Amino acid sequence: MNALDGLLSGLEAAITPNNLLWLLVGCLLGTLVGILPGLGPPATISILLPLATGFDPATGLIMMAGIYYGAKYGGSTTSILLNIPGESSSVVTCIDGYQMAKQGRAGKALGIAAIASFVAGTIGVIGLTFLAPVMANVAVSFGPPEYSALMVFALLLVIMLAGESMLKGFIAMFIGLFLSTVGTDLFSGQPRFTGDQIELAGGIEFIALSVGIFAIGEVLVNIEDKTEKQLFTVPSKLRELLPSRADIRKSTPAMLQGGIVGFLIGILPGAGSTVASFVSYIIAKRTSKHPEEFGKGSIEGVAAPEAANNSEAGGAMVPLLTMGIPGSGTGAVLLGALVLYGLNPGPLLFQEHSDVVWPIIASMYLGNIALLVMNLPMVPLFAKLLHTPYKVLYPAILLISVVGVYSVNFSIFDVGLLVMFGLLGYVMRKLDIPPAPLVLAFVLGPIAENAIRQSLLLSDNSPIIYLQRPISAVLIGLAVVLLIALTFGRSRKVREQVIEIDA
Amino acid sequence: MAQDTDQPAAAVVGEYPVDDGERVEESTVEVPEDHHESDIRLTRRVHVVLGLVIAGLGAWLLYRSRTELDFRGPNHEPGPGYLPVLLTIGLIGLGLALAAAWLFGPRARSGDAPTLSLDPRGMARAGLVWLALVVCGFLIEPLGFLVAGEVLVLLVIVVIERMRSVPSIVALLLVPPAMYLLFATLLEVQLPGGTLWH
Repeated sequence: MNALDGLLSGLEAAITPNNLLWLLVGCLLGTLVGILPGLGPPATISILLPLATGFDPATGLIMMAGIYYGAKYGGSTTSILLNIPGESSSVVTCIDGYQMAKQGRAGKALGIAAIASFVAGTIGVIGLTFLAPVMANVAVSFGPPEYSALMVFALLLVIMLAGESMLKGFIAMFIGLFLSTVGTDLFSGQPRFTGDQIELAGGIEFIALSVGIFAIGEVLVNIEDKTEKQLFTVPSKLRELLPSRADIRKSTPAMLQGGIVGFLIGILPGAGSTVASFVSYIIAKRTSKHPEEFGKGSIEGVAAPEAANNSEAGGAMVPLLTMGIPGSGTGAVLLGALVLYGLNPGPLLFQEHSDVVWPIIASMYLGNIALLVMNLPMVPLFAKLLHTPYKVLYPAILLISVVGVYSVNFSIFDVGLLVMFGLLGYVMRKLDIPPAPLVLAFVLGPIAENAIRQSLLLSDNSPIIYLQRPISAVLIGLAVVLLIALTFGRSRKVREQVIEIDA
Repeated sequence: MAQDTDQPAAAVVGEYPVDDGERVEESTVEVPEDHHESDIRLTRRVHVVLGLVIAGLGAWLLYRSRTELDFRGPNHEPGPGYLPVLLTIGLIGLGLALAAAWLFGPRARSGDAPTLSLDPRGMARAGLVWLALVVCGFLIEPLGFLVAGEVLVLLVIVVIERMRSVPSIVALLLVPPAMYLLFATLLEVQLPGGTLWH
């Protein structure tokens, strides 16, 4: 069966009243739960797994695909409205999305997030449909040297989120990398900087760090000013609550680029939507006609990471379905669901169980459409939430953050971490140290360290291994070029500013 | 809201991109020259101290990394201390570079670098809210989420915001039970009930 035939038969099987109903239920549940920080797609699917396994495999997996997409979109909503990233891939959306909300453009941000998710999710699913076998071979050729080179390149890209001060960006990044070393070393089993706290044996909880630094830090900065004025302006006209044609035209290149980048990076197990979202953001910034708007409420700065975030789902399905390698926590849960249904992911899955696989892929198309149809009308409602006076809103934000963090591990220790990182986030903002490099480095650090140590183990401590393999050599070369561009590009900019001042 | 620290303190100008590409300026506020000078001096001092603190923290963590963790493994491969040592050396360098840039750098000396917004009253308000969150965090385990949440809300209403508006007070008081209903009841996420009550 070729891909097109398979897809058509899958659509025919997926478009039944029962499957469509559970797809919509999954999308709705996923969106509602995705809005709550701490309960990202992996937790949501885990909670609903017992319910889904009561159905036949196609229906159950279709529902879980709906939950996955819904949770992704729900995470964007809190990133934009409240600066609370629901998971690591939502962090980049906070940068411009929240700024747009503060400028009274929350509806446009939410709307473009929904549209970008639809467009790029469709690209991801098309890629999955037609390119899965080819891309699976690419994924197989990625070993530890390639991963470590990719992570080094990605960490340098993180610096481009540093804003005006590259020095402060590097400081934030190094602090994030150091925090990622806290916990038990995977290679030796030695505890690192845990202070004999058993709760730190597994490392610092990401949600506690990100919600603390972003959400709590932002609240503390905002409530400094005791005025009665509304923190966010909210337009009253409906047409101002949704993106205009000009907005969509402006965001189209970012959406398309994000869709492609997200899919390609999503194929790499472990690289995930975090890397996809901020690589796409950086590319959008570099190719935009108005790069100076990024970080200050650029609609392209929302479209790009949201697009990448969603098409990554299609890419992540490639190693999962073709090799049984989950690309993320959600993929691991989906793998568990496939095994529960008696389906063994691998090269033969498409041949032996095409009656299940193709409806799942088809449901991803349908899930994208369902999300767009469901969420666009809800955008004005979500945006209107910002009418709430900030002095009523911020205690609710604080309590949501506490509950969200607690719900991850049911640990009061994590709540303590949230409070400490909240203070750190506030201090960073007051000192003009960008928080995004810290949080992203925290996510990438363990992947980078493990890959580098594995590579050096394989090569008997010889770094030449990076140059002996073509993919890693290219990535290292790109990283060097990027470092030079960052260093001299900044120097030239500073020189131009000095010349301007002198004049 | 905090001042945009990328702008010189002498004039606060906010602008944001409008969708059709035009730029809209908000109001321009002039700050007296002596305030600007003291802002510059304060900013410079803060950055020098920050740089030295980061370098000092890096040095302490470097000491701990070298004494507590193995730099190399049994086969001479990178050990658990490898990355922490490299990172802490990096932090020391970056901290010293930051301090040096603000002590000797041309922009800092000429007063053209952006200033920080460090209003003591604003920071005290933020500190109070943070303390309220700390109190809530301490109370969650013994008293449970509902009571701890109400304590936070009451601290905000009575101490921090000194609210008079009845609808706002009622709305805030309803937030903890609403969250309890959503998380604990509908989503079956177990929230702390309070060890004191058991």
